[in-house]
Amino acid sequence: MTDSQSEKKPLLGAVNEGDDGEEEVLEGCGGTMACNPHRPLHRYLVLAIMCFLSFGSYFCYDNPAALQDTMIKALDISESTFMGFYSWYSWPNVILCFFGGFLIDRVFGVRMGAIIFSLFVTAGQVLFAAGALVNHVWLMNLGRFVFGIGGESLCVAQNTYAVKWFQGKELNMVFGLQLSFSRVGSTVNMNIMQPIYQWITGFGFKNDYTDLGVVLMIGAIMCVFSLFCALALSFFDKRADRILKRAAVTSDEQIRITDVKDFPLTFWLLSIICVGYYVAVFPFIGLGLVFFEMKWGFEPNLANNVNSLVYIISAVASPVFGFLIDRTGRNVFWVILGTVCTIGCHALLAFTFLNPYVAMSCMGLAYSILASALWPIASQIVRNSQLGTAYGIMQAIQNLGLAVIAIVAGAIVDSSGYLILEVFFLACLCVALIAAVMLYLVDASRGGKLNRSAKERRRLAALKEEEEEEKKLLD
Amino acid sequence: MLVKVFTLLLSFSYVISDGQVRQMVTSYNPGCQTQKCPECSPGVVYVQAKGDNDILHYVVSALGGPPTALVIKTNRPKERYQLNINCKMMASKNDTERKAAITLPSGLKEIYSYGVVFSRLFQYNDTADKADITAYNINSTKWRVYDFTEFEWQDITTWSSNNLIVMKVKTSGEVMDAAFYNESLVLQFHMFDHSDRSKELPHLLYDADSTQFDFTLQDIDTGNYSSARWGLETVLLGSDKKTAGMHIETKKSIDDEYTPGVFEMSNWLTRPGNEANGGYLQWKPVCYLKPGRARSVATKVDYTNLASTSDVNVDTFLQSSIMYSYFPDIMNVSRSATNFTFGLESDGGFTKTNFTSWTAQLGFGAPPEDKVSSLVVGVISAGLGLPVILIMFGGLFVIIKKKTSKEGYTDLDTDRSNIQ
Repeated sequence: MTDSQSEKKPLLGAVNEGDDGEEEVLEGCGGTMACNPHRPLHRYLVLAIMCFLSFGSYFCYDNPAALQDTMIKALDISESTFMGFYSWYSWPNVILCFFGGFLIDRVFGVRMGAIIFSLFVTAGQVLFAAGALVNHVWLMNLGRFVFGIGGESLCVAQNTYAVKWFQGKELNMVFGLQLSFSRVGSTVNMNIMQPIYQWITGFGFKNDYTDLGVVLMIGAIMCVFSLFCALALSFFDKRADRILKRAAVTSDEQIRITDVKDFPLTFWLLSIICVGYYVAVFPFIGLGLVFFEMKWGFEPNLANNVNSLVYIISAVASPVFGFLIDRTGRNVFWVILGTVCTIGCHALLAFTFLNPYVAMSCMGLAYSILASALWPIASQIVRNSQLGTAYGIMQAIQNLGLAVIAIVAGAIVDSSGYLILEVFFLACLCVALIAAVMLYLVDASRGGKLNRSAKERRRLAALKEEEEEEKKLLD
Repeated sequence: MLVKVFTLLLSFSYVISDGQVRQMVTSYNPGCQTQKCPECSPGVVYVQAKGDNDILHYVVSALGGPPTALVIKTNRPKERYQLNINCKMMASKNDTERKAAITLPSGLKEIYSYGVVFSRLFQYNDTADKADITAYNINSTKWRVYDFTEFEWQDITTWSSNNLIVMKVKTSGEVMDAAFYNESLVLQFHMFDHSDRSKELPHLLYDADSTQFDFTLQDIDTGNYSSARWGLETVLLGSDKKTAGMHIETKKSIDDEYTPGVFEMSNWLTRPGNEANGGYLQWKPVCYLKPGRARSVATKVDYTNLASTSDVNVDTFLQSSIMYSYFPDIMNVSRSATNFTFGLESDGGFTKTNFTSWTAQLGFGAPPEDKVSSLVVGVISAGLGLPVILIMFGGLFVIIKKKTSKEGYTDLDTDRSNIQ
């Protein structure tokens, strides 16, 4: 018997036998194309859920802006107290999203992390609404603070999820689509909050602030919806991990916070590009309204339209450009292109009287290109197990830059006018451009990993798979 | 190194802006024995600005009612270069005496003369809140018209000094509904003997051929007007024939360094087409709603189309002003009028802060122009130059490296050098 048994044993060792290599059989609706993690359709459906993960957060972030006059009147607060609702969101996040990213990597994992931060977002919005209901501004500030802790770290979780599911496939388009959804969330908020408020006032509550509180609670419903998305994502992600046998973090890959100092130079250059670029776009839009009114003599409505062109165009163009960048690869070149285009747009606005529609439309397109091409580069630089920390750092630096430059920009305009302000933004963009060029050079001298064309990436991925198969056979 | 380049560029710009320097001599109530002269009330100030080859004579006064600034440019003879000016004759009731009050002595030849007269103040209730004075006619809203002949002015010598001529109104009597108090209206002229930029917003560039004036309205009782706004009727005169036309040109500029948020400059030329030999009134379309001037309290200044003074019945005011003493034949002198209006829609009107202040410049020759500062040029060249240099050298470096590291043929299918 033993002879025949040993005869039956394969000479080269088990490859596809035993539970080691057995494919899990998916039955029922789990086996359909839509639920099979091997199939792209499942990926796209999960993408839809992923996009709505931070929809609630983006929707509620701009609630104060949509209800500005109403809030100031109903709560009887000053303009600077009102702006405090935004400061309480952004300043803590200068540091907190770094820790959020680290917690996602080290402690919670991306699934638990997304759920926890979604809970923070919902709780924060509920506190904010409750503060309005009882007319206590301190409670509202606390609510915005809690909301902020959740909101920014939720973005980090969303980025991590995106890389996990789409690396090597449609990552650029996914980032573009996520940007698109953030704009859609904000726009929906701007358009429906006022009508909802008007509807609520019809219910005859005694005080204006009660109406406000009710409206904000309705906003919280969006956050609950996002919370459900987080729970659903967690379920699908766990299931896909099991079916696709994605490797978990092994003990010798444990992340320490000190690993941050070992991040390569290319990562820090990427952060500089991120800061240098975003501070030349968002604070500019914040101050753009008066600029268009004074320099071109636009009516306030028209100026508002021109100002929001960047948001509107990027909502549509980001996924399109993301898809394009997926096809061609060469992310660093796209980043350089986006930055150079934006420099051109600011130069047009600063030094000519050309209709700002042209410059702002181009800026919208350039922003879409850059946002889709920039964030996926980080996934090529750092290990997947450190991705949360990496995105946390990038976001933290970005928030710090935005918060500081918003104040600086206001000071520059008041003392030296809009031309100097535009020159300042051009200088920031030049810093981003220099960092991008250096990123290309440093990367080229280390093998050009970040700027590979899509064809090259696919070829290398196929070769890598072949190698891994060979390794398994040899074991 | 960059800092050194910047300071070099900055110092360059200072050297270039050096212009003519004049010697200024100020005298109060010329022709009177004492400086404070009750017969010449509210007072006349005569300033001579002596240059190398010419002299600008400024005569500023509210005598007769309308505040006036008359500028006469003459040659500079060796001696006797003072105007024959007698303020008692200017204040006289006798027309013949008034006509002869300002004359040129022999040897002094006029090159050109020009001046500005403020004739009337219009107050209207901007019910539509559009800040457009031309949108209303006499019946569509409430008006109050104050003409300056009804105003009483404080003594000009009280507040004036060598480089600053200050005219303030007195508390008005019943004739003007007691709406004005002491200092409700202040008009002050800054005299300059060199070129520089004003320290106060809107930071207009001046030179020795110009004077800047601040026109301030404050603490005026506007009665029951919900949104009162003002129009200042202004006349500019030049010593050309009355058929010579004047022109207001408004230039747009990309540069708002010196007046944040303001991208326009307007010049009212007495001799359009021959600016270098004519007079001008220059202003930026901005005025300020609080004494502490800043962008946050700025609002717009607009002007109506130039009109002939006879069409708007302003000639009688010109005749009451001191202009009549130098231009007896005032009906045949080149002159035109406009209304300067202050405010923008939704800024609350005059009633909100009860303060409006506007600065403009009256001068001879081509009006000064703002230039983009060297700081802007410096930052742009450094900012854009660096990446270009980096791209060029970096690109060269990459190409060279690729050429030197290539060794023979690599089979792509088996090339695993890039797998990590």
